[in-house]
Amino acid sequence: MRFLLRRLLHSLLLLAAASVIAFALVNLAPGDFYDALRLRPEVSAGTVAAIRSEHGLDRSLPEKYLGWLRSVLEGDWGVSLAYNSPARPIVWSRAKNTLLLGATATLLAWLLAMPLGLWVAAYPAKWSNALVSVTISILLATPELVLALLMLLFAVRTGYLPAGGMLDEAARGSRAASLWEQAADLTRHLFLPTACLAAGLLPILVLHVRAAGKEALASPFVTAARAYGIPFRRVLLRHALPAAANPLISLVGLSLGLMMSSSLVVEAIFSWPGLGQLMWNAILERDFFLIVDAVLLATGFLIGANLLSDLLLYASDPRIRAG
Amino acid sequence: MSLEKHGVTVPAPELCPPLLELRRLSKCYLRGGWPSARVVVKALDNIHLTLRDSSVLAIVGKSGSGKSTLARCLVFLERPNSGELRFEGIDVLSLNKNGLKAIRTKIQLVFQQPATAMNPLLSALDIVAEPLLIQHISKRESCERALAALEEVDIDRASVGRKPLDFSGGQRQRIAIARALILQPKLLVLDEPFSGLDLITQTQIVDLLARLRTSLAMTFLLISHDLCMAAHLADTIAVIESGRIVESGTVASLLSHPWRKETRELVDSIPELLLDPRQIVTRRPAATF
Repeated sequence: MRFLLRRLLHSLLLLAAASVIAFALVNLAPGDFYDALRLRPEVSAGTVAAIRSEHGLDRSLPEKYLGWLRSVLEGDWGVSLAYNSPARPIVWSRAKNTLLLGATATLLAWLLAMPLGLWVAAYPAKWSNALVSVTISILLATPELVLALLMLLFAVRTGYLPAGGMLDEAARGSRAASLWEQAADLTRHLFLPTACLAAGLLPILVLHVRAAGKEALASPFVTAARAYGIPFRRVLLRHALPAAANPLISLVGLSLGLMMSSSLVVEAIFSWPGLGQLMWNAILERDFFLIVDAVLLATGFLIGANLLSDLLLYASDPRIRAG
Repeated sequence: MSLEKHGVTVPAPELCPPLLELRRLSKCYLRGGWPSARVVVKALDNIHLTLRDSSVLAIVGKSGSGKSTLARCLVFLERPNSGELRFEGIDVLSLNKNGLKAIRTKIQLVFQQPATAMNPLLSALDIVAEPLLIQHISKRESCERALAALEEVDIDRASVGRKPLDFSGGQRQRIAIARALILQPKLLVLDEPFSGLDLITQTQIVDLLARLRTSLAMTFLLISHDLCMAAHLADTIAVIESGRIVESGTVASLLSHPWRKETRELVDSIPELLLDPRQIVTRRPAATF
């Protein structure tokens, strides 16, 4: 319990520090949402100043920060200047989509990386090992952007899978579409961005699983288990895998964080209505509070994922429980 | 014709079939990364050894002499490059995977460092019961037999749920012995069972092994750099140097008349307080070389 409270306190402090830094950096950027208005001759400078004052953009940074903090406590998370409405519902609806994409891709990458990494660690002399190593090297050397564009090209040329979006208009608009049809449509739309994100994360995970697996398999107790005639599969799953778990559990949080940052590009390419796309548009439009909220939510995901890693480590390793 | 020894009636050598036979056994390793810089290191060089049932043979030698490689070859963790390894008359090296599986249960090894040779995440009971579980023995029976084996080596029931690192060095060695004995092997290979233990604990382990030998009529192959401890337990001692057995004989003859320089060095390293060669009982040769 003490460990949990300490970690929660760390997380809150980190989030607070991130909010200050995000606020300061966004404030440092030149221009604001109403700069475009200044170029229009029919809008007077006084009107622009009045609008800026109404939304608190003319205040000093600490005042702006405190105002935003009050708004967070009230549940609005500031006001989106582009949407002219409280930022929370906008950010939150997009964050759920990003979370769906990121979590699915992370899960897929881990589900593939665990058996592949262990296989490569357990049978280093097999030809399949060389094949896996070459594939990993190619994936590592391919930028995510190129991978996403190739997949987009595939989708457009073949028409097998949707090239963008989250739901077809038919599935979204029709009330007759059953839940099953909607789920199937979502899965089809999810396929390419998920595959692209998972392909980016997979080689890193396979390399880590291979290293941890190799180290665990070289442990004297694994050698001893083999000498006692314990079948290799049992040695691998019951002895080596739990021994390799600690570094891999620590990687869970990092992999989710990586996924969140990678999803910015992938969401933009596949028109996935997620946090990345929202943040991109908000930056272009200088939508001050929306940028800060989106950055903080992404930071919150990363901190939450690391907290989850810590809790899993706490549950799995008695040494950490013992302090 | 029989000899009374350690309370066990052992058939005379000529009537006793050899349990283990090694003929011209060699094991080489390649050392060095680049092909041009690779050096062949002979860890075992033409080892000849015959071990009879219910006897104790000690292989003694300095660090790096090939003792542990021999132990690893005997439990099939390493495959010798050449030579014969016969167990109960069966040519083990010609066996396939299934054939080896049957032999594995009959030869068990107690590793050099019990602290690292046991899974730190499993309890002592789980560690000892695991070899039974993979023999498709029910979990309940496995646990009962594991408890009995742990009690046999003086680990009380209250502490069987603890993890290996929660035990002392001597207790860990006892758990390792219990795990090796749980499958009732015919041959127990003990690789440096006294290393890292204080003198009192070493003596306790020697007593335990002597007691187990008496009660289970087992064959031990003891691998050690400690001639003194080996002499207390073994019938026969073989001295290994650079992968070759350079001298062998009964404990008394080897201690009183060592003729090789390496053996003399080992004998000289024994403090006189700990071992008086005259007190060593003349035992029959249990192994031939």
